Amino acid sequence: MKPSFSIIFFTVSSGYGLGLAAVLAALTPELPHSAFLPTAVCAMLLTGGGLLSSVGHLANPKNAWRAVMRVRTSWLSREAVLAALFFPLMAGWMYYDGTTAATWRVAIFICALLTVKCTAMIYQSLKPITAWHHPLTSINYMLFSLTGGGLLFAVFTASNNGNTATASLLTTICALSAGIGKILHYRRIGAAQDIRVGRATGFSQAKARLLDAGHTGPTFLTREFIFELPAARLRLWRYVSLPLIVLSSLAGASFTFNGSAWGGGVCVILMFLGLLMERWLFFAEARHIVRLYHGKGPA
Amino acid sequence: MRLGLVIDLDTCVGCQGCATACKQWNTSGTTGPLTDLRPYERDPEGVWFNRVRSFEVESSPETPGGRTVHFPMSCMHCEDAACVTVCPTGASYKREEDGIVLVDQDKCMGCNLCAWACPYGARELDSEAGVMKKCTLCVDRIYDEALPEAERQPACVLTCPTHSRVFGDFDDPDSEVSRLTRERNGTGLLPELGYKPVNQYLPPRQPAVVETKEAGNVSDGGSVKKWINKLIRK
Repeated sequence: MKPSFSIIFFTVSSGYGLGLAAVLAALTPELPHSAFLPTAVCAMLLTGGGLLSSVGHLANPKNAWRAVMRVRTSWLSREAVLAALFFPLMAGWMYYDGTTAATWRVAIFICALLTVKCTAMIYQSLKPITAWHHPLTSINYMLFSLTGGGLLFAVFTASNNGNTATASLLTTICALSAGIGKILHYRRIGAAQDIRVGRATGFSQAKARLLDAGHTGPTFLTREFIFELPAARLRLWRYVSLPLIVLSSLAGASFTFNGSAWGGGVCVILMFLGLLMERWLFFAEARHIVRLYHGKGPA
Repeated sequence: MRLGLVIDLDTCVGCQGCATACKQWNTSGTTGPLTDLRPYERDPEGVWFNRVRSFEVESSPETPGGRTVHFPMSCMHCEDAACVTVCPTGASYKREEDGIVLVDQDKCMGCNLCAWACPYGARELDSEAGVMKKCTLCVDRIYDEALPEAERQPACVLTCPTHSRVFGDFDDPDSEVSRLTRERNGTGLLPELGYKPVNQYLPPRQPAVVETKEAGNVSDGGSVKKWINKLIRK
């Protein structure tokens, strides 16, 4: 699949923002009260920035408001509704000045995490892309979101001399689980048997290969679905992005645990870069069945 | 009603007539114009609803000698259409009355998700209009009472010179499409995905086996003939 920057930035940035909101809701008493508003605003900015970026992907953005119309079947619609619900919830919570009342906190925690889940389900629900059509997709999205959010929360806590122990521990656990989840995802991509060209055309009894694509130039289909890079280069991205994410979040957790907000902040940025690379790879490595009809894939 | 196409892979010659007729009709039809980018330059590109690809199938016990198969692909008008399920705006819809899958051009926001959900590559974004476009099964032809009844068929079907394409109602067991599918073991593509494509492909017929005999000792004519041949060769 062709990686598109607006979608990559959207999933990473909104993932951070929603993760931060979820951790903020979960650990409200841990944060010094003076840091509540900046943290909440940061969560909303990251989420909103991501959502704005996702609109950049639309060919016809003037109809974007209609995206809330099919909640009963479409994960994209569900995500849009939950994201739209997230902002008034946060605004209300800020109006009541970060009350520790369970109602607000539970509502925001659930809304934020469900939104991330819906984002992941947009990809996970697509059967023609085997690499995505698996529960690991949403597990990865949620864990990365919580790792990023946890680390950001720890940075805000540390910068206000709060008790960072819980947030740092949470970040460490999430970072390690996210790393394991992503390794499992990579193993799955390697193991997943591609549907063969022969099977896609119905000629499963013999090998089949494309003779003529029926067009001389690129088409929407080839641009969107055929993105081929050497396997060695894709592996290199894996070896750079995953260690960058996991190590920077672990380092960040240890900085914030020791009360260093600066160190944690640098690690947040490094992890953000690592996640952008990881999301790029998420798209670059995913192969759509349509490529078989263009002669790409095992005969 | 469950309207759709039967495509005979035995008789399709890959002439691209269906693809061209489709482009022509739909460019001036309800979803047109179908954008063409750089039409007179070296790398023209545009929106097509129907594309014909050719595949080479290797020799096997079922396909002795191997064969070339021309493979037209357009929207399968799936019974369980994933493109409709994933659409967040409700622009993609499947008509209850005849099963035709359409895009409401006024509602589409161009997010491409329906194209991602379609394993058959049936949807193409029109980058100029900013909306997704797809085969309409010529919905504006097949119900047009101004046309003679014989012409109320999709443009690709009318134009096909080898009659490889047949249009009809799969819910009617006596329709030609149902009969052909039954008699020729028609199949939908990628049944394992569960989308239940309505369009059916008829596999190429087995070529008739031509009996051959061992040649044995062939007489090369008499010695006179041999002698004459030698003479002529000189």
